[in-house]
Amino acid sequence: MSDVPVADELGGFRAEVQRFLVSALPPELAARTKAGHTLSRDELMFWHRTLHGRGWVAPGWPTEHGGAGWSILQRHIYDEEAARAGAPSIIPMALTIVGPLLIAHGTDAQRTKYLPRILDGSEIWCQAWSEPEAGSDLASLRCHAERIGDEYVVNGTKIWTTFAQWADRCMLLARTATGDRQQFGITILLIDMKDPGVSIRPLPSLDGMHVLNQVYFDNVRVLVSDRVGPEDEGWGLLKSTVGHERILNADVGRARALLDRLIRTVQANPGAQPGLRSRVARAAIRLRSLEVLVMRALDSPDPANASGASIIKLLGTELQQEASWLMSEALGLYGLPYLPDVMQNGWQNEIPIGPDDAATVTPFYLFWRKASISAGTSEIMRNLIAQQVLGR
Amino acid sequence: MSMSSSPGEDLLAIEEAANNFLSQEYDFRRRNIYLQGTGNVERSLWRRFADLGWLGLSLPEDYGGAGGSAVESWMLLQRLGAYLVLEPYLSSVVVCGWPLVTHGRKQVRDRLLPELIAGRIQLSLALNEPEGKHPNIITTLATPMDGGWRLVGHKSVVLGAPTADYLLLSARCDAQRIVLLIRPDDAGVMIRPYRLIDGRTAGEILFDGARVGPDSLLAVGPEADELLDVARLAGAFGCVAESVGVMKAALAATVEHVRARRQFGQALSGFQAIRHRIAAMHIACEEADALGWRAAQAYSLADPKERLAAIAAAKSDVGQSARRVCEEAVQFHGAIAITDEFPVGHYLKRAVVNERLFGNSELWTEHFSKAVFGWP
Ligand SMILES: Cc1cc2nc3c(=O)[nH]c(=O)nc-3n(C[C@H](O)[C@H](O)[C@H](O)COP(=O)(O)OP(=O)(O)OC[C@H]3O[C@@H](n4cnc5c(N)ncnc54)[C@H](O)[C@@H]3O)c2cc1C
Repeated sequence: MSDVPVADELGGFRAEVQRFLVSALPPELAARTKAGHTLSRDELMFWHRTLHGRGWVAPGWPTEHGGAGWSILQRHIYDEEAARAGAPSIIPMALTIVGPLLIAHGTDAQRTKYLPRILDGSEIWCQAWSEPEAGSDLASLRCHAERIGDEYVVNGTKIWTTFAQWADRCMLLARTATGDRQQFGITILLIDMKDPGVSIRPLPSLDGMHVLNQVYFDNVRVLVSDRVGPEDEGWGLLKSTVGHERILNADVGRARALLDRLIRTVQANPGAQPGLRSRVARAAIRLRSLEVLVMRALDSPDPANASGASIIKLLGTELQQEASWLMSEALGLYGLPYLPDVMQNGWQNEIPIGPDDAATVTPFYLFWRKASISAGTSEIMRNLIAQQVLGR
Repeated sequence: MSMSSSPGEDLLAIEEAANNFLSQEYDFRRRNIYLQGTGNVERSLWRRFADLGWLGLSLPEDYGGAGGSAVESWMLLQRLGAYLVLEPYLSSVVVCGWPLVTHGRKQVRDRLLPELIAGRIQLSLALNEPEGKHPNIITTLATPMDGGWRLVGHKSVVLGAPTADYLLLSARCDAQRIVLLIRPDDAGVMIRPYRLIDGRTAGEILFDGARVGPDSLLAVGPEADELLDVARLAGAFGCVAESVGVMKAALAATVEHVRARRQFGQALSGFQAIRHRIAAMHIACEEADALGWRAAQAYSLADPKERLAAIAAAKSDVGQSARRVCEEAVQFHGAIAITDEFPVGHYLKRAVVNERLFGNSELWTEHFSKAVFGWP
């Protein structure tokens, strides 16, 4: 698909990104990513380190903290090119949330202790916010931290914690006080996942893969020096940091990459039905409008607050879901077999069952129903949009 | 034509009996254990289905069945869908058993049907082919040889193949279609078994010069065409009935969830945005039930065109709407529905598979237009 036109001076940047991707991204890894295989931790961390070597692993961080210092537009261009080239999406939590949070609100000691190890990939982070009873209404969270001397003692549970099974550390939202406003009394703590009081229950997802976990905290001790910002006031810090996540969680780049793959799939199946073809075209048309909406949101001074951000999250994820469904339909019956080994490793020595990449498609469709749930559900997005349109 | 508008007491009794058995023996926890197993090899549940009279529910009394019509199975199949039953009821009893009542060489039918109804054998229809975008295209070759046939070809995504004792194989013989009854362990027949995303078993079947004898003949020429048409219709109807059960179960789970789950200080069922969409899910279930019911009744009609139209209408509509309802069910459950440990995502899986088996919405919309309007 064609690029959205951008200012000339960024043409050079795009070319630089393309050159880097050609030289640094191993073709086998790109092929595996494009075919939708479940990447291993090693593969994800390889790409993390490669980006780190080029100084691009933390595109939005300021340069003095080891980031690339890119503008929001440069990041967008990078996301587009990376998605098109088949670069893996690296494990995002530390880079998109923890790092920016520490840069904005952490102490010097915290930055020195954590940022370099985030950048070089020696520590993986997870984000322990949601709880069984606190989902969309995150501020109702209850996982409890009690201050005892120069430590907090944490008790409670978190759920849907992505990659907790790999994480060395986690960013925890804990309840330290209760008051009239739920938002008050939430404290951000940085936890060592090796603490003996931390235990994990894996929660296999609909595609059979293991991404999600429930995490239990049983008298986990955290030094006060591992608290970010003031006690009880974590919510405000969070609000000021996560806004950007929404627009930059590469929804559009991903939608485009999926549509590209969809179009390849349809082209490889000349028998695809006319109705399917017209729905594919319809999805491509919607992508075109989305591309302009993204450019507009990026051009506005504070993208995090523009109503565009919610619209883009909503439309981008809907489009991804539609593309993944159409891809499954395009495969016909060969979209139906469940072959978990092939999903991970591709076909090795056997004759493939159906088209080479078929095994990853429908499981991805199933798992990707999550796109309209995580990072703010579609209903919450619509509520935000309605609020912006109608007022409270 | 006289058609009752909804199931009477006798039919509701079938539903209730099925619920009683399945809620005991096929709750979600047990189902997961069955799913970890070897795919129905031991067949203990299959024999119990026979004892319950399920296998012969809509098959003639002469063969040991209950002599019911399709409406009895309509009730049962919905329950098998709602409980996500893994046994190959659809592929074995509906897709193969039903056509054999009226089609195929009598000698073979008379032998197979009593065995099927008694739960001693399972059958599977080997119809689809890898390139066969259109299910009417058959390229598997049966070359006459020594009074029998030599088989070369590839059948793809054959539901129930791994556990079947006999396969009903469609092939091309000279310029005609032929249906042969073969055994999976015949020399030159290879099955690559797997599970589908919804947990049911299926497989690829490869024929590399397999030889079968003269008594494997089931039907040839127009008789074979008809047998395959009837089997496809039965498959489509079975998918509809199962999926209506699936979507009702998904709706029921969602209603329960949104009533119990509280966020922002109130039950989710209090948010109007959710209420309207639950209403839409309910409407979709009612519409699907109506179309499925009409299709079930159409089985008793003399006019084959009306029968085709009713089943085509149902398959065209229900496939999609069952999936959409299940997608909504996942959405309203939130993250918990993305886990494999929770039933709602499995409803979606079953709906996805049923939508596509035996032809998707687009194909059956074409069949409908052709049957009703004569549009090509
Ligand atoms: C794959 C995946 C990965 C995740 N990773 C993480 C992670 O790493 N760390 C973490 O902390 N969390 C994670 N989450 C959790 C995620 O943030 C929550 O799922 C999300 O906040 C929604 O909460 P919930 O699932 O409890 O759904 P609920 O909040 O219970 O919502 C259920 C349904 O009700 C609707 N609803 C809720 N409130 C309203 C309203 N006011 N009006 C209308 N409708 C409403 C929702 O839209 C949804 O459809 C992940 C989730 C998924 C699926």
